[in-house]
Parts: sequence; structure tokens; C-alpha cells
Amino acid sequence: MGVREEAAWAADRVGALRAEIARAIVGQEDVVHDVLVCLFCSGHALLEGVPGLGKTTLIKSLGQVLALSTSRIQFTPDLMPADIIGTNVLIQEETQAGGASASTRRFVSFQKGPVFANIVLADEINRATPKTQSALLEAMQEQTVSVGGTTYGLDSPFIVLATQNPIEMEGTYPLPEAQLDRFFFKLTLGYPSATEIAAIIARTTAGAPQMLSRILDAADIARIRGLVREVPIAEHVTHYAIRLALATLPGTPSATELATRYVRYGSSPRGPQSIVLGAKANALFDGRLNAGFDDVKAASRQALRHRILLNFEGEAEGISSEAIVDDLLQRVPTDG
Amino acid sequence: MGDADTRRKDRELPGQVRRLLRAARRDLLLRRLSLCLFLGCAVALLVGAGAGSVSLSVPAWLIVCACPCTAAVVGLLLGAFGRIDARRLLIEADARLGSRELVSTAFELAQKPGGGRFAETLVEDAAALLARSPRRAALGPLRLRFLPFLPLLAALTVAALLFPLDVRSLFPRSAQAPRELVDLGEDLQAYGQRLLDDAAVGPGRTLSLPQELAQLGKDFSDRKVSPEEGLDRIDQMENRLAQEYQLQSQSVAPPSQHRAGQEAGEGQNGKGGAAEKSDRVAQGKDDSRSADRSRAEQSLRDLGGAMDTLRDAKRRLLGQGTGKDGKPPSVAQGPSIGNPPGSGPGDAGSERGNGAPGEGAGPGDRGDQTGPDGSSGPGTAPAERKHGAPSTLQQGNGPGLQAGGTPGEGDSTRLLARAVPGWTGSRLPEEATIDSYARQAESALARDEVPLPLRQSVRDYFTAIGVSGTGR
Repeated sequence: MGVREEAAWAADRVGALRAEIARAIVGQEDVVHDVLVCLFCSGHALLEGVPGLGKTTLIKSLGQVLALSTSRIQFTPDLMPADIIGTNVLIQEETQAGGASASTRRFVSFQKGPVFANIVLADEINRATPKTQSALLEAMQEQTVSVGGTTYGLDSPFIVLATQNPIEMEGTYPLPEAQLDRFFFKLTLGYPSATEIAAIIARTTAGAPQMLSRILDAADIARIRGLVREVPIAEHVTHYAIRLALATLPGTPSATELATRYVRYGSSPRGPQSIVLGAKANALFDGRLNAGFDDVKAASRQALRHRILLNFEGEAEGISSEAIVDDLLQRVPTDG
Repeated sequence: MGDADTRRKDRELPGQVRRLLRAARRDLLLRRLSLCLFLGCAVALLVGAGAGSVSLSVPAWLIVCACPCTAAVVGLLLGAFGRIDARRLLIEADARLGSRELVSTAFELAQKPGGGRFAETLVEDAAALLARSPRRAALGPLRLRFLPFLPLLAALTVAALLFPLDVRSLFPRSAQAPRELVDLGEDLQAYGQRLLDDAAVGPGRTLSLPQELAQLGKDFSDRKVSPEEGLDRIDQMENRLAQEYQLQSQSVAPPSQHRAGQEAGEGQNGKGGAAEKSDRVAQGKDDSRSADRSRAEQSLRDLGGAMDTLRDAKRRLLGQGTGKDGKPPSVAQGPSIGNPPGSGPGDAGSERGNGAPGEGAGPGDRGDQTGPDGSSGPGTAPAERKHGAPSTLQQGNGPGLQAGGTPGEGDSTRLLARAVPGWTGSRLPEEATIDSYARQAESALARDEVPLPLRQSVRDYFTAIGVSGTGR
């Protein structure tokens, strides 16, 4: 199979995935697309939205169509790290050898936590303490878990889809910057339209739940992941992504006026990494063999919005990081 | 896909890019050519329009033809050697073709080895895209914005050559005075102001003359007068000064015969008590007359300096361009300052150099010297010129300056003619003047109105510099 055919196959499979997920999720096409981008770019997604928008349904649907193991962790303030990653448990085993008296054997066994799954839904991640939140750090970055001096590898593919509720901020622990930076994209789920709500009601209140078909397996995912990374991107397009990220850094010559005024910390180098990789995935999903400026622009919002920390003035004036990114996209020229 | 096919397709994109670059070069050539032609025609139009106003050493049509030709050559050179960035050209082509950076990415991949599995396919796609896209679509429309103006400029230039126009006639020359006139005015004003300052500290000196002189200078420096008008005003003022000078010199009275008679009486009768009293009264009157004469002499010096200044101003004014042939016209000499009309016998016939203001001996220098025996000698020592343009000392042509008295008797009269205004170093030895100063100071101290402590101060001063009250 040639490159052109491979790219066409990947685009076709992704299209099929989206179509299959759309059977379970009404609307939210962009969110589904971006979740797939995260999946094929080996990244993690932070989903933000009010309850009832189908976040959990999306994760479950994804697990079904990909034939991957899924787990759901409901984050609460008393959740401990061991509840996520697992713990060593002392096992006592009695054995009888040839009619003799029974002997007892004790040993420590590692009991895997819910993080040992291909798709992990960290529901309302901001309700757990930072200590518990940070338990996910190693798993997200290294795809390994270390307990009692032993490191356990996680199955591939591994993707964390964390959700947080933007309206109930009482009793929550905002995610540390280091953990925020580890999310490839931050996705915002908007409220569905009346037509979409009607469709949701029709699907969920009549008949049995939809059973989704399996579209891809782990091997296919790995193959598409490889293809994404091979998509060429021109130097000037990469530089555009870099300029976008640099323009978020306040106090630098390349910063925009809005960033200088309202941003406390700008994007880390992970920002342009995510933009470029997302642009490649966008191009491949579109059946193209190279990433362009439009692909970069399409990935910038999701890649930068959670990497921009507003200062007090920005918070006080109700400036959103999305507005900062939109301003960047307007002001930073492609031919810089 | 075989290696041969791959190489062929690799060659294909560079070939397409080269064709695109050639087309871009043509566009650049045309753009630069039209711009330079526009500029050249504009210059030609200016030359053609100005040809009737200025005299050119070469025919105007030659310059007019040369301008666009030179501009065309420059435009061609700029277009031929102007840099075209292939990468930027392809990025722009991508934007115009809507190919989402396909061509520029493929070109970049073709430039460097190891572009990955996708490179080959991308290069192939890009070459195909360029091959099927019109050049103009990739390069964008060729806009020669200056081209429509070229015929208009050419027509105007030809019209300007055929119907020459004297541009200067459209703008009549303003009667603004040149810079030299302003400088001259400032000098006159400064001199007038200096005279005013002198008159302020020296009672009895005229104020109207310096004021008028300063006003004349101010008019010059404010460019209120043209050079011709300035000359007229200088002439008028010079005439007025000459008249004033004549009047002033008549007011300087000849030496008193009374004094001579007194001295003769002293020689016969000796000095009795009554005679001594009379002598003191007479001495007081003499002192008063001496002060009046001193003021009159100072006025005369001011007048003389002013006339010199005006004469110099006139020379500068004539020299700065009123002469058509470029040569400064000769300066008409006014009445000699050194020959005050009607200066009577006993006046010293001082002679003055015709120097510029500020030249010659400084204030206090005597242009004459008293005869050693106290008699009024004929013509005294001429004033020495210290600085300034060379000029001949004019010999006075006034009446004889011989005193009528007997040598060794009678009072002497001195006309202290100021050489030129302004302070410069004096070459007169101190011994020649210090006694005279001391005597004048002593006689001034004899006046009743001088307070006693001040008298002592003056005496102390002369004592300090080594001169007693009656001389060294």
C-alpha cells in the first residue's frame, strides 16, 4: 500500500469512527474530532462542560468502537492516589502438601488500579486533592506507574480523558499548571441545540441503548499514530506555530498587546508541539499529505487555551484564554 | 514506483518551479521597468518645464530624452538582478492556488534529502498541481500601476519642450533682502546700541543719532528695506550726520583769549592776594568750559564714528550685489571727518583714517598730541590704524591749523578726535597720556560738587599707579 492509499485509509477509518460515535453522541462533532486527534496523537484531553452533555457517554462510545478497555474514576476529595494507580496488598495463601499440615504462604501482590486501562475517564478531576491529581502525572507522561519501587507499564494505547465542571467551583482544586500542561487539548463542550436535545431524547427514551460496532483495534490505532507523525509540515508552517506560542508570552517582543496585558504565564514548548502534531492529524484526517496554516489554526485554540494562565487583571475583567488565542490568530501573520 | 520514475518526478518539481521563477522574473522586470520609466518621465517633465527658466549647457531635449532612457536601463537592471525568493514565491503561490502549503512543503522536501515516506508523493502532487495551474494563477495578476501614467507624462514633456515656459515669471521674486543685508543691519544696530549705551553714561551726548542709527539697522535686519532703499536711507543719514558734524564742530569754541591775557598779567604783576582770588574764580570757569568742550568733542567723535560706520555699510551694501558686473562699485566719500568744517584756529587738525567701525585706536586714544610746550601745534600726530582693511589716511583739506598765539604762552586747545569707535589696543605709550589724565582728574576734583572722600579716592588711584596729583 502506497502512502497515498495509507493516508486515504486512515482518513476513511477516522471518518467511520466519527460516524459510529455519532450514533451514540448527538452533536459535539468537533469535540469528537478533537478527542480522536488526541487519541491518534498519543495525547490526553481535558473536557470541560456542564453535567449531562455526554462526556461519559463519549468515553464509553470510544471504548466500544475502538475495542479498547475503559475505566472511569470519579474524583472526590477523599480519593487517594492508591485508589487510582493501585496498591500492594498482602496476600495470605494456605497450601496443603500431601496430607501434611497446611502451610501458610504470605506475599505482596500489586492490585492494579483503574488507571490500567486503554481509555481512562477521570471524571471531575478537579474535585480531588492535588496529591491525588498528581498521581496521574506519571501515567499521563510516561505511560508507566511506579508503586513500591516497581514500575508497571500501561497498555497502549493509553489516553486519559479528564472532565471538569466549570460551574461548581466550591470545594474544588484547580489543576496544577504542570498537570494542565500535560493535556494535549482542552475541549469545551457546548450546550446542544434544541434539535440535538430532541434527538438525544428520542435516542435515550425509546428502545434499547445503541450498540456500537468496532471500527478499529489497537494495531490500527498504532498504525494511524505512525502515519500522523509522518505527515510532513513545512518549516514556515512550523514557525508559524512557534510564533503563535511565543506571542502568548507576556513581556516578550513577540507578545500581543492582549497577552501582555492579561496573561501571567504563556504557553510552554508543549504548546507548539501539540499544535504541530494536531495540525498533522487534521491534515491526515482530511486526506491530505501535508499540514498547512489552516491545520495549525484549527489546532491552536485547543492546544493553547489551557496553557495560558491569566493574571489578576484578566480574571477581573472576565477575559477568557480563548479570546487571547483568537486575538493571536488574528494578529500573528503567517508570513512572519 | 521505480527509481527512474522517482528521479523523473523529482526533476519535475524543480522544473516547474524554475518555470514559475522565470515568469516571476518577467513580472519583476516589467514592474521595475514601469516604475523607473515613470520616474524618468517625471524627471524629464520637470526638466522640460524648467528648460525655459534656466540656461542649460546642453540642449534640453537631450536631457529630456536621456532621462527615460537612463531610467529604462536602471529599471531593466533592477528587474534583472532583483532577488526573487523562491520559497516565498511558492508560499504565495500556495495561498493563491489554495493548495494548503502543498507546493512550498514539497519544494522544501525536494531540497533536502530524507524527507520521509510522504516526500515523494508530495513532490509529485505539487508538480502536477503546478503543471495544471496557469502561471498567472500561481503568480497573481501583474499590476503595472505606473504604466497608465507614462503616455500622459510623455505628452506633457513634449508639450513642455514645444512651448517653453518661464517658470520664474509665474513666481515674481520677492523683495526680500539678502542675508548680507541682514548682517549689515545687525552691525548697524549693534553700533547704534553701543552709542546709546555710551550716551547713557556720558551726560550731554546726543541720543537721537544712535537711536536713528539703531532703527536703520533694525530695518535692515528685519528685511523691511531693499538694498536700493537702504542705500538711499544711508545717504540721507550720512548727509544729516555731516550737517550735525558741522554744527557740533562750530560749537567747540576756540581757546579763550582771556586765559592768555591772564597768563600775561601774571607775568607782569606777580600773584597778589586779590589776584589769587580772581585767579581761582577764573580757574573754575575754565574748568567748566573745559568740561563742555570735552562733551562736544565726544559728540564729534560719536558723529565721526557713525559716519565711518555708515560709509562702511554703504561699501558692503554696494559690494554685495547691486553692481551688475559683479564688481563692487566705488564708494563715494563723504566729507572728511578729520576736517571739521569751520574748525577754528587752535583746533588741532587731527586726521582720521577711513577705517571700518571698530578699527583703529580705542576710546581714549588720542589722535593728536599736545605740543611739548603747551602751544597748539599744527596738525598733530595722525591716528594710527590698528586693524581693518587697508586704507589711506586722508589728508585733511580744511583750513590751516596753526594757532595764532605766541609759542609757549596761552592755553592750548586740543581736539580729541576719536579714531574709530570700538575698543582696541592702544599703541600710545602710557607716559604720553597719563600726565594729561592726571591733570584732568585734578582739575575735576577742584570742583565743589565732587565729595571730599571721592576726591581722596581719585588721588589715591593716581598715586597707586605711580602718578602724583601734578604729574609723575
